[in-house]
Amino acid sequence: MNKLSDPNSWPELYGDIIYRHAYFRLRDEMLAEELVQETFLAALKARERFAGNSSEKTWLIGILKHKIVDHLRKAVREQSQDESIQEFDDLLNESFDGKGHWKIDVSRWNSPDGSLEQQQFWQTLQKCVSGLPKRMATLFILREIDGLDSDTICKEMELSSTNNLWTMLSRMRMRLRQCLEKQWFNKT
Amino acid sequence: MMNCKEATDLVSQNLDRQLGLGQRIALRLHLLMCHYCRNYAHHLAFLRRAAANLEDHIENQTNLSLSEESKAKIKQSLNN
Repeated sequence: MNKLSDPNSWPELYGDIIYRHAYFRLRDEMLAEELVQETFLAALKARERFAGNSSEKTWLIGILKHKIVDHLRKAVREQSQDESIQEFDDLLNESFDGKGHWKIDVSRWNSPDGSLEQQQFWQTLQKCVSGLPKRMATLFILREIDGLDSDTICKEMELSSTNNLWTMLSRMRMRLRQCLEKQWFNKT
Repeated sequence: MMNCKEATDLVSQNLDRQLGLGQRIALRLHLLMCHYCRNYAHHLAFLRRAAANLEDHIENQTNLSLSEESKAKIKQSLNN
């Protein structure tokens, strides 16, 4: 059974870790900081209910994720649905000719799994995710990090149809693929 | 005959849902003949594997930290 430490020690013990998670998901320093504080405050209130099955850290990160989902739900309403359409049209035009055939070389990557062992690689991947338009980055997190299913994501992001979702996911992955290729595989 | 643009969409969808039988066959045929799209499929599969592990690496980002001031502020808020 895990026990909680003194809440006063949380900022020292977990402040940075929670902040890194928050920043990754929100990409906004002030907002991330706010959510760290909210997380600790919520944890303080819910302290009696800590069952001790998970570590203190995991428990705190869980609380943060709930807070972030609440935040994203609000933020999604304020983002315009088509903020990034133009940008992705450009990506498609760059990639395919008028008949839908590749215009670019899609070569094999050199030992991709070896990259997973390198700290530099993870920074590159994070940069690529951060470079996505906001809705796409949210989509990446909900689908690839949190592993939510299509119906749930459509609801959270207020998408009218799953076809719409699949198109967005496809563009998002194409863009990430291109970024990794440029920023990592063609460099190493 | 399916083109590469359509094939990339199906390669992506294949990560999110079970494709229909017709789509599966068409995609497989396309991939047999098109090595660029085959590479593309490998790239997306790799991206998924990498994404699954990304969160474990976020905590090691030592260049990203709260300032001492912020920590003190948060600590104070816990005591109010």
